[in-house]
Amino acid sequence: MESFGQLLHGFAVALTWKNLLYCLMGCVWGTAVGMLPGLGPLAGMALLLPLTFGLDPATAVIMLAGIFYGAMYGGSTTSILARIPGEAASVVTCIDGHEMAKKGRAGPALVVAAVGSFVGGTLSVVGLTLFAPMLADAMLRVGPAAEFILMVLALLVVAFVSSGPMVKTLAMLLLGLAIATIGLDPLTAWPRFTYGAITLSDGIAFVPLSIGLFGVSEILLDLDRRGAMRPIKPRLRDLMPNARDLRQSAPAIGRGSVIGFLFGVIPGISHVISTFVSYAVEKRLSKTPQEFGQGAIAGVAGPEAANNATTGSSMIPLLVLGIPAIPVTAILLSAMLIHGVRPGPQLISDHPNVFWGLIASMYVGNLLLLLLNLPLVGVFVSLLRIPRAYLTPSILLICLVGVYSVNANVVDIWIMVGSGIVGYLFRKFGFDVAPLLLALVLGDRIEISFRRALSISGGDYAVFYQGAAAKVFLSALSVLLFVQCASWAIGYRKRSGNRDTSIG
Amino acid sequence: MRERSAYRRGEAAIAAALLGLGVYVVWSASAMPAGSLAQPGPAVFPFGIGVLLAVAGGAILAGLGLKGPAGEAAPLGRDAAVAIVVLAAAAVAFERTGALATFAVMLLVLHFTLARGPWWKSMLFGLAGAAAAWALFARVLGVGLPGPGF
Repeated sequence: MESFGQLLHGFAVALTWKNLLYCLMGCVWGTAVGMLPGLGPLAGMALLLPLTFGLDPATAVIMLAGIFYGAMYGGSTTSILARIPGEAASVVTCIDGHEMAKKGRAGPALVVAAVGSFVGGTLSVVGLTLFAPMLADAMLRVGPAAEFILMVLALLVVAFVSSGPMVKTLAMLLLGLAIATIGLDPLTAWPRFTYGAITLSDGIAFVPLSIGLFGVSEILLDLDRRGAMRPIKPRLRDLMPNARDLRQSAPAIGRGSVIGFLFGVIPGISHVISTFVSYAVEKRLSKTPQEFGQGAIAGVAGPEAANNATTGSSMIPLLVLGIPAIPVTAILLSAMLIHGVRPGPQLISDHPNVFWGLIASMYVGNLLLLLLNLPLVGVFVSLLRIPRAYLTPSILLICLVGVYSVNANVVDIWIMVGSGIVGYLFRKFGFDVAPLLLALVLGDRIEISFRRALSISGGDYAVFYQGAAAKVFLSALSVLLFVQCASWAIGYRKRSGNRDTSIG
Repeated sequence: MRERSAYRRGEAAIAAALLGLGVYVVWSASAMPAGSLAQPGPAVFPFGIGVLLAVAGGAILAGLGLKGPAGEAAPLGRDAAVAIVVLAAAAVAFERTGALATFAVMLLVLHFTLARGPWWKSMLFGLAGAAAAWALFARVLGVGLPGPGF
């Protein structure tokens, strides 16, 4: 009941004309970057991050969150109309969405994707409203030792669920942690890897690094790709789905929402995994599984709902624990820190405007997206027709100005260019840079909690397995390591078995 | 086939760089105060991270944990190479020649490279784009940019 009252206060914050305008801007920009291949929510948020510095914290966070879920909506449009996923979580939507578009049913596919996204997004915000305050209350009793284990656990989950080779993800996590050590030591102010440069005392700036790693590198990779896009243009009068479509998609949307919400709290690429799981579940439960891959509407509805349901639940670790579960929330964390707001269990009591304003804005933003996206689908599709010769130079110019505007320091431009080149090379050779960013954001806190825990215990390492919270997190860590080792052992035995069979 | 072996070479080069970086971090951390068990100093965390980073780099180099076939890596394309050079040049020129001139040249060169069309179109795009960007960022949004430079 108390949460309901505070949510109403959040609506009072979110529904001011200024916050509504920035929420709308975030949603529109998010839809655009979600649609444009190469520019996902990460690059979209990183590019606009510097422009939020003049705003108050609640407005800045509301706009950035709008970009996040706007991109989730936008990604589905290019998947359906051009068979090119605007962002990773829309890959599954390509399969049946584009098949429907080829059969002249782009309209129903777009409507079901938009409605699925709206329902998934809204239900996950309801979950966030209910569970976040309860979890925050519990987390207030967690000490530095348990906090350290929790953050290590979060990073290991990222490594274990990554799509590429785990050793590469681990290397990226460690590189992020190594970069986080640059600057003055957080407890003794001893300069580490600063080489006497004052610019490095505060560490490597997050904004130019993230714009370089995600924005610039993505553009460079896109320049290496060839091939023009030929999106299918839907007609507005063909938008409405028929009764059979609605019957098939309604339960898929419900199941997708639950799957997305549950997966969203897992660190890593949960929003991508949830779409694949939802697709598999729909195919398994369908009476006509042979239609999947040929334009089954449930294959669009479920994954789209799941994809958007992760946006709300992935906010839970960020807002309640101060741990970004996915790279997008790492950028939100960075924005909050820049504005003097530290996410964590005390966020609700210290900054109720930011916390409840953000949650309320997510209800409003999801509704805005539903109302905007369908009538304006033609306008958004025309973005795909802007020639690369105009789009790419303009985006690079925005990157340049965005980075410079933070500190009016040309060193930041160098960091952006350098990290852009490094990110380009990493991604070209299969190293995912997202874990690097997560580790960079958490590096400081991992070190501080580790050293504080030892300080409090007088150097007794037993502190890491004492206390209820530490025991729970340590058990989860042990289970995770056991499952991973077991899967390695099974994989090794299978490979040896195959080798023996082929020799025999 | 050639692209696959280029992929493996690139992967190995990055792994070697990570291994080297790990060793360097360990070496640098060993010159920092280590503190005690009760009060760990600034060396402890970078030292541990450096060791693990070197191990991870070594493991990739040895091909451990790299399941499945190698991906394909197209060589650095002309457009991407030009974009890198233009960005680096913009970083050098930004405060020396001013934002407006940097914007104009940057847009012109990138447009000319990507459009492969007549140069006057690129010039028009460069000048109009620079003026529009200046008006938007410096005038409307109030971003402090280095002087016009013309």
